[in-house]
Amino acid sequence: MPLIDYSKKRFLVIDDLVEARSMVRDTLKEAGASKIDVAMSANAAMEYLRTRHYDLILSDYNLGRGKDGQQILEEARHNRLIPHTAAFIMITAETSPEMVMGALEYQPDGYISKPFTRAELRRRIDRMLQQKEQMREVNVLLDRQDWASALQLTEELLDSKPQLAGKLLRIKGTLMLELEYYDDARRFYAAQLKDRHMPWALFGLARACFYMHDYDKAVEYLQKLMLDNQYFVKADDWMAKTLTVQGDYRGAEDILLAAIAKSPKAVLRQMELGKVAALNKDWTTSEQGFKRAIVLANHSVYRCADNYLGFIEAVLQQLEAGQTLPKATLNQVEESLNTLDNDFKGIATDTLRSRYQACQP
Amino acid sequence: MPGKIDIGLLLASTVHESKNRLVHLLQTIEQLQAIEQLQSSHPQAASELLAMEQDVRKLNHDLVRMLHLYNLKSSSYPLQLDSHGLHDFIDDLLLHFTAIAHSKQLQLALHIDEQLVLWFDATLLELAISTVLFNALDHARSQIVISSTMADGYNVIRIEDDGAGFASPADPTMPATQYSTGLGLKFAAAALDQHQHQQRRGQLHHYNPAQGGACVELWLPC
Repeated sequence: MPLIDYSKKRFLVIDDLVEARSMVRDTLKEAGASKIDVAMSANAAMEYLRTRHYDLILSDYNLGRGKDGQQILEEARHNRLIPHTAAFIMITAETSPEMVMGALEYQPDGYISKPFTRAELRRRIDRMLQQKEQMREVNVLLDRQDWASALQLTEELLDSKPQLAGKLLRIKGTLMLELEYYDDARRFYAAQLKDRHMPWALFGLARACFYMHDYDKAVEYLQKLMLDNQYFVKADDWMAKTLTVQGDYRGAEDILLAAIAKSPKAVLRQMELGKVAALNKDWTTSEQGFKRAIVLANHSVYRCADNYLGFIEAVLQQLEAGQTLPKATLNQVEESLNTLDNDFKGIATDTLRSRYQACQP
Repeated sequence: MPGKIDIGLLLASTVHESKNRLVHLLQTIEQLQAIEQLQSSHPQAASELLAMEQDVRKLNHDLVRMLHLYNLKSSSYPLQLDSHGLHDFIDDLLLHFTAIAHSKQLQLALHIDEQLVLWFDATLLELAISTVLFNALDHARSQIVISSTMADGYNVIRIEDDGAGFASPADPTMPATQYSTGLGLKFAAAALDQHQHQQRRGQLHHYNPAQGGACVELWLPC
């Protein structure tokens, strides 16, 4: 194995338990690392990720209360706080399937499961850093969103580095979708599935079909995916998306409700539920979705005016239909109106306010 | 009337809790081992502690395997096929076994082409190989050899030890130790069976080679 110069790399260790933190930090120090930040909570970790760029992030999956390691990864990757060139290793004591939930979209680069010795941890980190080194050029292009060059380089690496084939093929498919080569992508994913049963390929195939407006096929593949792996909730999201396009709002709402029962903490899914339920004129569910989205998005980048607007609309619709709602809900409407005025300037609340006033006895 | 109890899930949850307790126990053992004077002032205690650590690790491995068997059988296991350099994969895995092999004065030899790339689910294959290795460590006299070959569209990973071999050819699922029940090999076979390529599925074979000892072969379709 070629040697990795740890002193040139920056590390972030995320763990709520002091012994675990020091074990990981000591292992990194022994390997020669000096630029090590340590976060004791998800919030502290997000703050570090917003302000610094790391080469390797090691996070425990279970961080006590609040966000877990997977949520940190998803939020950080979604907002490009972790570049493709950086590696994320999830430390886990879990063998339960919940751990890999949704992991197809935002998968950590590697896992290490407890218990492990320092030597084992060191080996895992070494391997990860080497692999990232081998993939560096592709990842740089991905970070630049230079999809065409990335695709060309991926093809070259597929020939020269067969051990990376699994990762490269996934990237290749995603790039074809990004470049809108839907025909090619569909053929590519179908060919992959012929050889091996791989959920990512089935998921890619479904997406290619969706973009080609072949919604029936997309539904068929997504159904298969959901049947194979009930914890792969991303499939549910795409199913809801496809059903919505097909005009089956009721079906989409049911799918989202089921997905939320499996994984209640995903902000975007709650938002989607709020929207789809509104299309169904199911205002109670819409209110619930937006309400939970507001709570979950608090102090995060998902905090947006749409959640407040959606929530207020859902409540107003119920009031205008003559329903009586709890005082707490009405208070929340007033709070939301104030939040919109204070934090989201440029959004006019006059009409909403007068509609709300009109509903008051 | 409460819903029917899912006894499988109940057992799996219990195993899961027990496993997490074992991890804590293991951390305590490691903290004791880190006491500097222990080795010099109480060598007997230090060696007992090492034996205890190995037993706890084995126990942890067994519980993890049981959980995965449960997941496989309740079909909630999401198989994750990926390409791996087999040499490095097994070399990493052997890190778990160096201490125990050393204490038993056993040689671990790895004869695998460094260029060989195979597709498999890393979690399942690691558990399957570890299971076979734990067995081999219980039986080997001086060495365990891990090698690989190609046969009939399969990549075969072969793990051989120079122990007494499987107890009864009539009942090859019963290995010679008093603690083993053959469950490990059944798990390894189930893990391999998950691996499909085109129409072929993974398989497990085990036998006593003519030159003595025991041999287990993991067949992965390629």
